[in-house]
Amino acid sequence: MHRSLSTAASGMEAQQTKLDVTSNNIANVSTAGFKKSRAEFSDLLYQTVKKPGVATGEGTQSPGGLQIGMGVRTAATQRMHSQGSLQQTGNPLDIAIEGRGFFVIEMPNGDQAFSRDGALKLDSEGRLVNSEGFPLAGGLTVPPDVDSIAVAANGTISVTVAGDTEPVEVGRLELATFANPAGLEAIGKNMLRATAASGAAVTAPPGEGGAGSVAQGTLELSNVKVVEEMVDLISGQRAYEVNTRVVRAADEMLAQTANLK
Amino acid sequence: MGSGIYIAAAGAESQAAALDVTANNIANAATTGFKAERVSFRQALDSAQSADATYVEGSSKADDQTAGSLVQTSNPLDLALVGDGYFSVETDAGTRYTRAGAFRLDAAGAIINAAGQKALSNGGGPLTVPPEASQVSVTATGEVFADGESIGSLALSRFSPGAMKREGASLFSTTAAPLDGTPEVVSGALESSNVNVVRGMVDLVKVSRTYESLLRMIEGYRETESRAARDLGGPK
Repeated sequence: MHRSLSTAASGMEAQQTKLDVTSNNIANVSTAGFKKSRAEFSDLLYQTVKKPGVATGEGTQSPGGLQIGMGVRTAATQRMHSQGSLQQTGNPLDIAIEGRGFFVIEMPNGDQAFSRDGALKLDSEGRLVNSEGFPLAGGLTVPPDVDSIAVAANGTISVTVAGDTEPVEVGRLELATFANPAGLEAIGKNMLRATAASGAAVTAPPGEGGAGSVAQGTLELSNVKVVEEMVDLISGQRAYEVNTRVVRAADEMLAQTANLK
Repeated sequence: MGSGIYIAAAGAESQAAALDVTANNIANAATTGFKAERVSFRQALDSAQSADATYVEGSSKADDQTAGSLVQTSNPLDLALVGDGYFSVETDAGTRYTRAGAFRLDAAGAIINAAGQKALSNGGGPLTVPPEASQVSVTATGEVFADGESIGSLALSRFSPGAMKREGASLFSTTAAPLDGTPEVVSGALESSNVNVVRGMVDLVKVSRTYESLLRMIEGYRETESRAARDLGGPK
């Protein structure tokens, strides 16, 4: 009976984790380039009271053993890298990636970070930076007196300088791909870091090497679907509640035992 | 002394085991590919006392093999099995079987489960998706395609449900030989746990009430015996 108390506690903990993950998804429903996560559960060890298939007589065996499970644990939280929906913004520096690639961002400490958030900006030196002000890798710089910036689907950036009619190419975006993007580590601020699980970044320009193409004037929204999250919220909350009922039932049974007259 | 009090105690113990099993079912209501358990009880004949008095004991635990509902995830490596059967994964202890089909790729492109164990192909080795592949798809027969190129088929097997031993972490082991036939694979969906929460709640109520009445029986026997001792034993 003490087993069922801790079993139910593990169930409550798992549902709490599910709720935490779901609430983070919902909180980021309008974060550009955000990828939702989901909690995955697996059952804990089993106490084998009777082994399945033991002989019960000559030529006969028990059809199933008696194994009592110890509950549940959170096996992993997996980030789902499905494409978010694209929103037209008309802003020339809003760039969405259609495909598997990531923007490569240079962190102030020299490390590389990866992001799907394509709301790029220019800093005072004309560098392309993300919302944190960290520049894109590759040192793409736009001259100060430009009339218009055009980003082609293959990542080529060309600018038209004031007074000129011919656009000038200033560089090409680079995208990174990973064997296992779900293995990237989220570091907040819409950025991810490579890990041993994700594999090393393979960089390629858009349109080459499976990185996908880019779309100018478009933002990739988060891939969170609110209806799905609401269903998860409700099912998680109810499952939590049922586990508390198990605790109460076990507690009542223990109390009755202790109060045996 | 009558054996009734021990019969009631054995019954209460069995109900406690039933509570443990129900608790584990409810705790795993959100575990992908989990199959609910049921305890069955059997009479253990107490021949030493009298032929009518029988104890109860938890005897065997049958798994509820009904399919869990499929939840669409649209992730190509979320695989659900339709019909009974298992995926095979490679663990340190040897091949293990699972219905939890939330697969993913590792850094080298091998198909792994949530615990990092490699899914086995029907040739026995791991399945590796080339890193430059931009699309992975899995057919109903378990054949895996990367950018339209076949890279092998997932090992799918069926076993008699009674021969499967639970290992935790959604894995099963068995020493039995596989049966004929294979289940069908649905890509982009996960099989949710088949635990029926309503049934779990009913079981919970039933177990605690049965337990309570068995405790009342114990009290009744004790009462009878102490009255017998008082009324018959002492000097009048």
